[in-house]
Amino acid sequence: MGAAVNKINKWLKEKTFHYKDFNIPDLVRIKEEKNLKISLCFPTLNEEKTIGKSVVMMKSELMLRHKLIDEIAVIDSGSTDSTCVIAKEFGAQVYNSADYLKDEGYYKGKGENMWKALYLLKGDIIVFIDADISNIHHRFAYGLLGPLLQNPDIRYVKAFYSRPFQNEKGIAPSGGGRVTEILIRPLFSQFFPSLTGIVQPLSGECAGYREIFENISFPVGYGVETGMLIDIYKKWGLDAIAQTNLDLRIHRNQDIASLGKMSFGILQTFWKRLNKYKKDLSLSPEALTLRQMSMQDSGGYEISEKLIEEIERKPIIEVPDYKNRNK
Amino acid sequence: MYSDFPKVLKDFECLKKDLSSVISATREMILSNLSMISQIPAFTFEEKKRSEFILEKFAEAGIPDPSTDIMYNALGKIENSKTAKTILITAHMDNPFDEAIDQNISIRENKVFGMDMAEDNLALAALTTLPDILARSKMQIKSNLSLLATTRSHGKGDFEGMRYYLNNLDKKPDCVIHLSGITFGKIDYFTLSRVRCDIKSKFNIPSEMAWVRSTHDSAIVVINEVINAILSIPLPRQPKSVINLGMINGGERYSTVSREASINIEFLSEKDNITDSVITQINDYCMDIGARHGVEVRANFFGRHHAAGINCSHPLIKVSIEIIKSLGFEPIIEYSCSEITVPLSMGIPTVSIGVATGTGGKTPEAYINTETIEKGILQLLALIYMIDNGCCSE
Repeated sequence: MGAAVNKINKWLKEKTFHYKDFNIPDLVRIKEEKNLKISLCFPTLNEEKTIGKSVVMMKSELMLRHKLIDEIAVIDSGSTDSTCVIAKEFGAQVYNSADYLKDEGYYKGKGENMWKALYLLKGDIIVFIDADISNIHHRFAYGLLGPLLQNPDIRYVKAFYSRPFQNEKGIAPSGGGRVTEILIRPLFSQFFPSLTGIVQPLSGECAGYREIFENISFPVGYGVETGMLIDIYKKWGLDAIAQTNLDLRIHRNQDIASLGKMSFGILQTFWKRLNKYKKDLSLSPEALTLRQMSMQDSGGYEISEKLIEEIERKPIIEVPDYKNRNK
Repeated sequence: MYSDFPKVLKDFECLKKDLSSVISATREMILSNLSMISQIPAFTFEEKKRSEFILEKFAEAGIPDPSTDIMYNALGKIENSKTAKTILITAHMDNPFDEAIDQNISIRENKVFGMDMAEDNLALAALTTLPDILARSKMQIKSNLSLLATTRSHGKGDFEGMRYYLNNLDKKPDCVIHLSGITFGKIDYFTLSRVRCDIKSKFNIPSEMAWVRSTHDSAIVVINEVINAILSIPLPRQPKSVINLGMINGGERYSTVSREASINIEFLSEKDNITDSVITQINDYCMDIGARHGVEVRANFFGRHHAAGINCSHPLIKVSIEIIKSLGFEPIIEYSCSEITVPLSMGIPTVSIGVATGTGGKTPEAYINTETIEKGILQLLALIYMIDNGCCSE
């Protein structure tokens, strides 16, 4: 294995956490010692089935029982169902995204709501959690806050989940989902190899310090997770990033057509960053190494490398023996 | 004494404002616990994970050393004095759904929807949140409170969790408050004599096409005869007795003679001797019908409970009724087939009360009215206060 992959695996070992590594009273104590304010944001669009439970759970466990979070906000893209009414009923601050920063225009999308959260919320640390999680639990918030509060060098934390899938050995946990393994990890392998250690780059949940979020641009739609990750990595380096296993996450499954749309949006974000960071598009030997995620028997994750070189044959008409075959 | 009730109720009225605001402020805690409980499947006999969660919540609420036993009952004790009376407050943990069923709830503006949440999980959420509510309120209690989340209440669990707990106590509680879900306004304090029975007819022959064999020996035909025989059992109008043919199963496909069929029945009566007589008759019928068809017809009886209860003139019941009236509701008195049969048959004054209103059923459309939870919890606190101040003692 090369030095690059060793570096990624070292990072994986040091910066990959499990939500059970953290104890809420300890986190509250550190937060108070550091005099930090923490905001929790749910970007929403028509989430009436799950938003009530999400707000209730976070408020009960992380505001009433433990004073870890200072404010809970819903930033909405114009829901036509009862999302906003329900969120308000259970004490969340509710903002209609279109009503704020009007001079900057308005775009509909999760990234838009996250971007405006920086303007609307007061926290030094901001936690973003999707509002469509059926098995929402307060670990989704404190699991992300743990690495930020306990490690001064970590500025941004990304979630990942147990995603059981069937293989020849039976049930085994995989790395990411379909779009991650087919699109994102191969692209990262070629252009941003250090980021192949992120187990689920498309997970919707993350937390970070305000200074990180306020210095990067936010793709409005599907590319927000990938764009954010690449920009933070380029500006602050891999060591500023960590990831936490939040166990099982149950949410709506997307069909292939939706995943196709998502992939197309992500590709646009990607090409913009290839230009922005003046990436070499030639197929250097380094760029031919695919890095894939695998899970160790010990439960940890590791990146393995495989050289995949697509050799091409010229048109056979140019081969003399082909031309002379019938002579 | 019940005669003290009007004065104690007045004292409670002074606390009511504080308690209402505490309950209102802890509404999210109850719903959060309900949500987390619903995320942990607890099929009867498989309640361990849910039990661990309840113990964790009791500990988080400051209960010292919450404990469990071999049945995985979860117990939290708020002890005030060794000589004080003990009030046991219970709700069961198990439900009839395995891990494959999504029990996640959906919290809406005024309602919470979810599979089985209304009937089973809500009462458990109230029990789990009670230490948090008491810790935040100004209500002082002299009695010891034992908060018990029980296992094995459904079906063949046969209330084993509750029975094990009570049978292994050195000192029995002075009274028991049993919590149920969407039955707010209902008071249960007596149980009927009950037995459940699975009857199975089974032919030990290979699968055969109906066309080549007489269908008179089909297991379904045999079970049909058993049903007719059971329905011919004469039942008295008084004491009231009922046989319910709950479920039926049998057969394999259109074209083959059924080799196996079964029926699940429940018998309820106000008197135990009628239940005894019905058990004997069902056994006789099964033997007779089986012999005539040359097939094994086996009746397996389980879930036997004896008729037990306290009189409606018992101060615990009179006080429970008055509390519901004081909250602006008309109490409904009904029999129960719940775990209360266990303490009642041990002679422990027991009452079952509901936490909220709503609509039950084993579907995701089942719901609770969230705004009634406040009244339900207030009712529970009032009852604890009255028992603590002696109003429910004979």
